Amino acid sequence: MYIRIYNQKVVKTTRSVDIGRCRHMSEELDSPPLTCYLHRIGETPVETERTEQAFALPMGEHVGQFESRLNFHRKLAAIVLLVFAVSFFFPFFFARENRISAEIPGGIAELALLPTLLLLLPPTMILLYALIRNSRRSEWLLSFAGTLGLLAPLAVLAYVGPRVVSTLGPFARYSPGSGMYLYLTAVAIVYLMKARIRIGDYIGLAVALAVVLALGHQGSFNRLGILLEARNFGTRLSREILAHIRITGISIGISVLVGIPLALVTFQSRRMRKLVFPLLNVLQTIPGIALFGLLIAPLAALSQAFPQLREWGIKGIGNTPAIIALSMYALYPIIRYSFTAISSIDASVVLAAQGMGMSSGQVWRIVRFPLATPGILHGIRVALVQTIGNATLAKLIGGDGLGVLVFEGLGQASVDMVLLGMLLIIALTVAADRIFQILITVLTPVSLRREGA
Amino acid sequence: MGRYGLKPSRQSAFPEKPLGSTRRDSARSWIVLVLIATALVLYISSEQVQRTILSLIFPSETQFTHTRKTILQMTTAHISLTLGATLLSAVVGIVVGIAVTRKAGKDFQQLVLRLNSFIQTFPPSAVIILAFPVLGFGWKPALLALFLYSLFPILGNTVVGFQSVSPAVIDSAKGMGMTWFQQLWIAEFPQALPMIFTGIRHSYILNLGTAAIAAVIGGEGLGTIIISGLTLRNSALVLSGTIVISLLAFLGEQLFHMVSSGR
Repeated sequence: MYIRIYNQKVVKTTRSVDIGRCRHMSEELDSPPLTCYLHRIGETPVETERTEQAFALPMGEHVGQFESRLNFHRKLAAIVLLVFAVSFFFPFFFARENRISAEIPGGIAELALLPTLLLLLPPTMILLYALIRNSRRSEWLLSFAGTLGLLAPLAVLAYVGPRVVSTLGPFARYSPGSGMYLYLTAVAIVYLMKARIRIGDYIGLAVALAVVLALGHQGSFNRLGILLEARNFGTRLSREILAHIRITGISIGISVLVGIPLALVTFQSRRMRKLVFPLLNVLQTIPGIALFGLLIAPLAALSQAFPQLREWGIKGIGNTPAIIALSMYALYPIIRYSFTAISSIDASVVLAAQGMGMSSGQVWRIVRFPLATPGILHGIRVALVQTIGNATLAKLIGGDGLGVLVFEGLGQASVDMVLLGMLLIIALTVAADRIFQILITVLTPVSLRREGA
Repeated sequence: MGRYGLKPSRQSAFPEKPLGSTRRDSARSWIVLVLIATALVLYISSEQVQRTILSLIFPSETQFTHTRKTILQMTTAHISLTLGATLLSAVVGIVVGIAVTRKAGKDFQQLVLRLNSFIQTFPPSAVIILAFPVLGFGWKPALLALFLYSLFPILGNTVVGFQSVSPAVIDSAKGMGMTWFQQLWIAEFPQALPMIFTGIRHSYILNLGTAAIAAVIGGEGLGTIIISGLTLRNSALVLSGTIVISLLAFLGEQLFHMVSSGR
């Protein structure tokens, strides 16, 4: 924690800066040298070489208040330990004799000694972390706890698998239970409580991944329900994934092509604003699931009246109505965010541009568009995430995509199939979200970037 | 974007009206409220009304009602699911929101906000359907999933609401010798209330739509008729459920609007 303390008051705080950089910064700023202190409870501030992250402290905060924040890690550790403890009371896995038979819960008590000890290791490390709480070493402890927290449940699954197969017959399978989900939640909090992800964490994640692959190669997960389902689907699985991406992509493409010009028009004309926004608001109160169904009859009637349309795939059921519904639904965030982005541009910037003699087109091209880009992209990102989720529902009107897995799974009461579908959808969502976050960061004009943002 | 990438939800289904409540505005609000409520009651209580309206829009369909359940039953289930989840998340969200904006809990604020933006990337349908493998089938998992999903808008808005209380107000409250609770209740809460209210309204609207998806995991609301309409390729059934949900949304919006503008 680097703070500059003057008269017992925090006058300068920096986040995640080590002493070397702190000195460097002060040279760069050509200011009187910043004093970079590590402050520990009950000690006078000592200058030190390197430590973990600093919290952003408000200027002028008293050192006494600062101390209470240092207990933060202990409080967090207590919460993590609580979640770990609760998770042990729930079944860690479920075994089934076949894919839809009743589930046989298995708790931590039924595991052998070794996996149990392994599961207990991360909480122990967190406990240690809370007790010693000391600069660099404790941060490493946290990284270890995180990695082990990911590895331990995997080890449990790999251990349970072969054992289940031997006792329950040839169609036996197993799935993770609520205890394991809670356990992983605790691990997620461990990662969330880290101020930043360090190289050690990446190494840890890589090790975890390598272990998974090795165990998978060895066949330890052969009886894991999700993998069995994935294997049953075979090439159909990749087809549905691609279909899901295609449906989402086309829908977003349409709503971007329609939405952004519409946002421009609404920005220019007050009358359009009065027309478009109430309409969008009404559209938004219709649940996504219903919008699909409402299109069945009109589109069916349309394709009956004009048989030509049916050749293009426009009919009551299938992918086309799904795409139409999805793009209608995605319009709201796109128009809303684009409109806000354009209208929240500082008026003085536009005035300055006009004062420089720019034509209306130049103002748009050089000033407004670049400044509105992050906002517009943000809208597309929101729409994209929403559409990937809603595209699941396309199956209900005969469309393709991962909804096929989900709803067939629900129909057959097959937990694993639903889980497989949902995990893939979430993976798609997270990937799309990340890509857009990077895009937004890259395309944000330098003038809009703020330090630390 | 807020300080932690949190976007407080401010959108309303109604355009902002200028402040200041005149008697005419108040009367108009009441008339709108009564109209929506009457339409809702009329629609859900009589099958004749449903049949008439739906056959007007979809003359080619023959089936206009669900075979096993009446709209009234489904609406009751839908409302209890939505209101239950919204109330639960309002209580928990406000309590946790207050806790993390106090001195003792301030450390958790960032964690809560990070968690908030993380959860928001999940599509609502994913949250509902995931409840099936994790929690099982029935209305309880549906309620829990709705609660979890609607908790975060309220929590996030509560935190932002309390953050936006001006330090001068807190200082003067302290200067007046207020106790911890008085400071919270008299000085801060009224200032944070509009933001919290917006969060609750947002959650309500969100839950209303998401509860329709809950039908696939056994939450017996209006989603039942919508989904049977989808599987039977019958738009009339879908519309029937949609009408009620939309009316409920407008009714809720109008109520929130009237309460928040003090009419």
